[in-house]
Amino acid sequence: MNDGILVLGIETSCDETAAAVTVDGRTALSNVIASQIDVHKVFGGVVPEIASRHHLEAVCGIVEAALEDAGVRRDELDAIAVTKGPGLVGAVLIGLATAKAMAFALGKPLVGVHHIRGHIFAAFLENPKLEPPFLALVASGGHTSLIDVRGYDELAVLGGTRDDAAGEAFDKVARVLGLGYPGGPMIDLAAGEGDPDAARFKRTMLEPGSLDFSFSGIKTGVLNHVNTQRQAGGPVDTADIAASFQQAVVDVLVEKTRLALEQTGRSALVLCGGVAANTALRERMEGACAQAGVRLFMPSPVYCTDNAAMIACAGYYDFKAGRRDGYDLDAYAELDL
Amino acid sequence: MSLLAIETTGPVCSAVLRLEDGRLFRRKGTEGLRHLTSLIPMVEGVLAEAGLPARDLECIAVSAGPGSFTGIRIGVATARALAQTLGIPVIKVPTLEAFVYLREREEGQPPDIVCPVFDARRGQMYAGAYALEENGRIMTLVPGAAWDPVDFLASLEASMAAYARYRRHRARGEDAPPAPGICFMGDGVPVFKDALGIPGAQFFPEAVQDAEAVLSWALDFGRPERYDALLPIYMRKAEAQRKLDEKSSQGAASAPNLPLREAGEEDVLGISVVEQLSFGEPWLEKSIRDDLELDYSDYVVCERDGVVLGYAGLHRIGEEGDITNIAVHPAVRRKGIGTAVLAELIRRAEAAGVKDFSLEVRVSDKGAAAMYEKAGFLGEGHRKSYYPTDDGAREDALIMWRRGSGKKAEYIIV
Repeated sequence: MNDGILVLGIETSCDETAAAVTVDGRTALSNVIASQIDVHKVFGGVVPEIASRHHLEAVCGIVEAALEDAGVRRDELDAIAVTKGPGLVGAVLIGLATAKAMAFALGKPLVGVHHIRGHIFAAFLENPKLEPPFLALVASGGHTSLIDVRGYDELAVLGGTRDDAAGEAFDKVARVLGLGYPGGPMIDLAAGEGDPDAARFKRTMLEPGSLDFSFSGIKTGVLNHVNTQRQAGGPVDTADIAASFQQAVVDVLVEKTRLALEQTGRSALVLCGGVAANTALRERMEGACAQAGVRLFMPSPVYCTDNAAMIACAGYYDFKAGRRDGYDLDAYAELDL
Repeated sequence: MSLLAIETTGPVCSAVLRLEDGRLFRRKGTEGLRHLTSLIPMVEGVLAEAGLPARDLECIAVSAGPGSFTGIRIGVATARALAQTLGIPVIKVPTLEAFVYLREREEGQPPDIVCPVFDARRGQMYAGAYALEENGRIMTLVPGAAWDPVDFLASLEASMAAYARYRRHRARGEDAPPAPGICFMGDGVPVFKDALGIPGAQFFPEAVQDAEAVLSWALDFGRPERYDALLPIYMRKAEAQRKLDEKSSQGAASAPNLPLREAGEEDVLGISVVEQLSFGEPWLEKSIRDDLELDYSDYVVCERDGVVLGYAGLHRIGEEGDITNIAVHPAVRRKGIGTAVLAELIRRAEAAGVKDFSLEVRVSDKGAAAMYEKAGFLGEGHRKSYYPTDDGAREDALIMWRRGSGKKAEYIIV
């Protein structure tokens, strides 16, 4: 029925169990995501053991739903792509064991995908014209990286975080402010009511010209500010602090991205990862790109969060490049791009 | 039937394929946690060696735990996905029980009581006790769980006494059968050996989880089911969950969360084991099965990980319910299971319109009578010489009623 190359993607690296089918790496025929947010909320963050237990119970049903939504039979698939890392290794291996068993049972090729590569390739899903080269800023709960995408198979990491990832800082600050989990959307929401210039938090830029990030200073600044307010017995202006904190993070992300664009001379930028769903970051990046004459591509929020369409998409390009993984494919907590 | 068995819960990963004609094809890893990377290559290896295409595989048996949480999930996730993709059923194998097949037996020797003991860390062990009966059936003497060693030993002793009594009764006056031996197997043995003080016990600390034992259990007792019914047997909550539950139940005496439900055909064996370990004249399996099928009988079981811990049954006659039987596995008594199954039985019968409940209890069994009184039963009469005793004499039954109808009764002696 489908003439294109059909790839099933499976993603279980953190707290979303996801499966999707793409055709020719550019169109998602289905994109099913079961979030465990409600499960982990009571713990104030993702509990790896509990995440793994939920992935195991959910994954077969999610795969079934993804195939059904796409109207694709198993035997029509051309390849099975799966996140091999980085992520919570106990969670990653659920998807991996599932994908391997499927690939083996069907006699279909298996392709292990780097999670971050998936986040970048999510941009191809809604932008049929987008082609490398371009610059990508990946900002998520576990990663903050600037990557020069020179070709489908040539990704160069220009800079990464030296301590906390941007999303991690959002989670921690949200916890201190009592905004709950997940931190990103909660801060985004609270910040909308606050004054971003109410408090001034240090923007850590590191040495001149560096494309690395550091967010622990901003985070500590917020914690100290909140403690000072609490000790003084005054009210903690949650909205103002959230807005000021968010602005500080966004300033750093935008400035570093501007620098990277300048250094590489790229004329297109992909903003992706869970933090790319942040309203302020999207607005500011739009402004900065317009000013610099750079085309900006931002996946819709559903493709920014962890999803499997992006894994199927990245897997498609791996598959096309002839890469196959054996059934001895391992799961990785840390993994170079 | 071609059956593939996989084992990933212990230190060694293994797979074995059995073809319809009984031929076996095996793969076994070396020690080391490389299960995720070695499992499918092993499956591929046995199928290739047997010349069986994956699509011709008919069933998958998987060791479901307890053991390493990650190891359990590698096996279960793989089994589920294989079964889902191939459209074949799975068999969930309890890892502890499968250990019975690791004990080598000599012809004519009495069967051992096999106690697998795995180190569960934090001072606990995943352990159970199983007797392989002469008829090939496995009788659970201590249900598998994460046990504190002291509690496990107390439960084991209580169950062994009940089991010895059952074997004496079954011999019916003929020469008493030789007492079964007992052995402890598994990586928990060196850790807990001091706590496992049973005279004459043998120890096999080197015994390791093996797919062949999983295969044997599946062939003898397996119930094929759909892939999505297959869930791990963790026997322990996630640590964060346990702490949270502890915090939220602080101060309040929380009722034990017992898995109660209506009994079905699949519980007959388990009920029968509890009967045999509880009564001198246990109901036969057939009687239990027949009784379950009556349209005026209700049965409730407390069942965990496939083991019946307790049950109760009654016959409905109009607005009266005659509680025919109630028993708790000797390894888990005094934990509120009897009270819970009785309450659930009454709740269900009341919903069906029953108002008054009656039961009989040995006059010497003060503990049981006290429990029934707590549940609202009062002594309303005696039945003379109703029960046989161990020494061949007879004993009276106390008749107790729990009246919801307000009906008045006179004390009767029959």
